[in-house]
Amino acid sequence: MPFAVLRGYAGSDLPRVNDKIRSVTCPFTGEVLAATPSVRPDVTVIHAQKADWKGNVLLWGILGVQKEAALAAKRAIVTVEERVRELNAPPNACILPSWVVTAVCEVPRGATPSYAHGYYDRDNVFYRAWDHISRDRDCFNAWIKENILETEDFAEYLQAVSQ
Amino acid sequence: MSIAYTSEEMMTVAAARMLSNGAVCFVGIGLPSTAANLARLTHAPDAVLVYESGPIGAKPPVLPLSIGDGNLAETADTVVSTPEIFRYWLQGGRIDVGFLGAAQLDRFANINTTVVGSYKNPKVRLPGAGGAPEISSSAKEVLIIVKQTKRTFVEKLDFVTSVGFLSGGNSRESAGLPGNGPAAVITDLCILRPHPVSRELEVTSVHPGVNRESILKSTGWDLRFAEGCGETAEPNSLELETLRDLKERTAAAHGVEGDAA
Repeated sequence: MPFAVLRGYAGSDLPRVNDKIRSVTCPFTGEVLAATPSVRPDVTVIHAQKADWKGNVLLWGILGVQKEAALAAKRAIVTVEERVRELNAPPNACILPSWVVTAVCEVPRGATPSYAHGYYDRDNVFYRAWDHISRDRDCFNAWIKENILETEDFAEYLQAVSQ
Repeated sequence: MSIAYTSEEMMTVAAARMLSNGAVCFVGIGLPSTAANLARLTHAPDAVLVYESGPIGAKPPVLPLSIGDGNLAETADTVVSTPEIFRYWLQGGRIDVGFLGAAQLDRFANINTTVVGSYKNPKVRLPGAGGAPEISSSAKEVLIIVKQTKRTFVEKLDFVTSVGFLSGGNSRESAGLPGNGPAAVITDLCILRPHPVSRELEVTSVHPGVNRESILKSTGWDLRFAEGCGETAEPNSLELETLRDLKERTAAAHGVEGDAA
């Protein structure tokens, strides 16, 4: 759909500085509501817990907008903690069927330094350290260089950030 | 003999007391989350804590670092998606109390969390709106917890992010906002409530050991004291011990000492 409807912008300065916040009149009640346009990404990348061998993806915990982001995109790439033969999920579980997913990659600890619900906790010490790393441009670039650009692969990255 | 406490502890305790048992409360991270969890661990065990990431009925054992913390989901009655929390639960009128912080606040309890200075060339870029505009619009009532200084309590906001009573009187109702707006502002010095007609904030309770002069000096407008303005009860030992335990557990879980509000 082309837009979402919100009530929160009456009286706020946000619509004045953001032309993506516009208004629409409800055809049933006449109420004037804020509308924001849909986002259509070329690619969405999300991390989930499990995929079966066909590529159906199961995710749980705090989902935020991950399902919506995957469905809104032209292509969706999902990294998962593990591949399993059967998902064994209850009927209402959050599942992205294989036919809406472009590619599934098995990447254990792929959410690091964040967490994967049911697999491992977030690295809170790193999260707090990130406030400092990201505040200063040089500090940020040095961290990216050392941990992302100069590591050979994901395994080496994991080793670098776990030190 | 009462236990010594800090002004921040007084603020958190006073804010926690505002939350009644069983209330459904939409909680922001930081001071609101601390106060709401303190309420849940003391007089309001059945308070329902809702975080904008989707957990409903969260009972986190330690305070979350962010709205995405796993312990919110693990302890929740249910977890829904972010679009659902806003569409069906908040804008659907299911939230009794919205609990917000602020960087700047004016006499009608309008809130700025966007910029200090001009929008185009800000002196400070603040964290932004998040879900606060929707919370301040749709929650049945709003509680605001904020430290009181001349920099936070300003005559005119640099930017209106989330609305309180707009320009006062019935201007909020005229704008068509479904919620009733701010019920109270809790600071480290006092409690303020909107005047029933003008909707201008006035001091209704002064924290122990704080004098009126220092409240006026920490406010950027000609603040009034309500008729019958009283004194806030000191934090009791249960409130203080529960708050300190919570903060200690949180600091240990986050791998830091202190500073885990």
